[in-house]
Amino acid sequence: MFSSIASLQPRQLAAQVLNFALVLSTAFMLWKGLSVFTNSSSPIVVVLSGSMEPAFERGDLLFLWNRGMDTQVGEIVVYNVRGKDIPIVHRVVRRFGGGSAPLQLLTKGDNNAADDTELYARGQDYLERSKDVVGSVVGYVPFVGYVTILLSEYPWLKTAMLGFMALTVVLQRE
Amino acid sequence: MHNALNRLQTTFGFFTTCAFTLASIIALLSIVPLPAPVGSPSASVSVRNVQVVKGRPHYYATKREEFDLEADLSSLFTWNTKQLFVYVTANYPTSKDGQGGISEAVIWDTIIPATSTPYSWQNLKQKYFPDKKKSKSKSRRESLSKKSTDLVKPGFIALKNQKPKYQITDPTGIISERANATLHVSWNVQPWVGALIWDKGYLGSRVGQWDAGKVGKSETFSFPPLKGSKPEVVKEKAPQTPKVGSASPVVEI
Repeated sequence: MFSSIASLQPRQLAAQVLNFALVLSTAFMLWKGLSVFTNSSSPIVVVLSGSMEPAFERGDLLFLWNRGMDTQVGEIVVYNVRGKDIPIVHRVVRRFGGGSAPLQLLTKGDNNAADDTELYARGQDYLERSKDVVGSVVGYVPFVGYVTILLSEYPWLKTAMLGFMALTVVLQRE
Repeated sequence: MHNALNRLQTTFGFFTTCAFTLASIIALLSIVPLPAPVGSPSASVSVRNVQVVKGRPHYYATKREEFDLEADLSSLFTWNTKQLFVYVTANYPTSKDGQGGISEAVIWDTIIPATSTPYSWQNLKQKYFPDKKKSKSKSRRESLSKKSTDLVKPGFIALKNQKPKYQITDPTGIISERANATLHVSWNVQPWVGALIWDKGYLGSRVGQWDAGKVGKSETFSFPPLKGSKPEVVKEKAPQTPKVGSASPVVEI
C-alpha cells in the first residue's frame, strides 16, 4: 500500500494535490457565487424542525432568494434570531411598513399554534426585513438534506464516513 | 475494474442522475404549465362584523371580525401539488396620510392537503395489513373520515360567519378608526418538488390566474372606534357611543 504512494514522482504528487485543491476551490466558488447571485448568506438550507409540517418535513432542502425586499404576507422566510445563529423557517403572517419606512414582519410556523413572538430576542416584537431575514423560500427538494441532519446529530457518522472514503481511495490505487 | 464496489458506485451514480433528471422535469412542467390548467381559481369574501376591543397590556388594541368566504381553488390541485395553503388577510394603510404603505395581517388560514394516492405508504399498509384490533367506535370514525376525504374534491371552501383564527394588532397600538381596509384571499401551492407558487407572484399568474371579477377581495370597510371595554379586564372607562356614520358595517345579503 505505502510503497505505491512512495513510488510517485514529485511532479505526479504535486499534480494530484493540485487536482484535489482545484476540486475544493471550485466547490467553494460555486457556493459563494450562488450566495452572491441570490444575495443571501446561505442560499441552500436544510429544514431542521417540524414546525412547518406538513409543508416541509425534517431533511428537506430549501432554495432561498433574497433579492425581493418587498416580502409579502404568506411568503416563507428563513431568519436568524438576533444574537443567536439558529436559522428558523417560518411563514410571514403580518407586515407593517414598506415604502420609506423599514419593513417589519411577524412570522409563525404552520404547525405552531402561536406566532413567533416568544422566539424573538427580548424586547424584539418584529423582524426587520433588511437585517434579520436570510432569504425567502422559492423552491424545495424533499428528503435530500437528511444526510446533513444525520451527520450533525451523530458526529461519529462523520468520522466513519471519512474513514470509509479514505479507505476506498487508498485501496483503489492497486 | 469491474469489482463489486465499482458496480455499486456506478449504479448509485446512475440512480442519482435519474432521480435528479426526473425531479427537474417535474419541477419544470409545474411551472410551464403543461398540461394547461382546466379552470381558474375564484373566490369571494365579505366582511360581516368588525369590533375593536382593548387588549392585554403587552399587546395592543385588538380587532375581531367575522367574514364569509366562498372559494373554488380545485384547479390548483395538479399532480405536483402536495398541499394548498389558503389565507385571508386584512389590508389597511399604515398611516393616515397613506405615506407608509399597506399593512397586512393574516386573520385566518387553512391547509388543504391533496388527496393521498392509493399507492401511498399509509394506504398500502391499510390495504394489505389492516388493523385487526379495532374497537367498534374507532372503526366507524375511521371509515367516516376516509369517506369524507375521498368523496370531496379538495379546494372547495364555503364558510359563513367565520370567526378569525387570529386577533390582529397594530404596532402603533391603535387600530380603531382606520379607513380603507379590505380583506384579501390568497393561496400558496406547495409542490412535491420544485418551485413554490403564490397567487401574487409571476408564477401564480401563469398557473392560476384568478377568474375575472372573482379576485377574492372584499369591499372596503373601516375599523370602528374602540368598543366599551369589559369592566373586569381593564380600568374603568366610560363606554363610548359610536359616532354617527362610523358604526361597524354589516353586509346585507
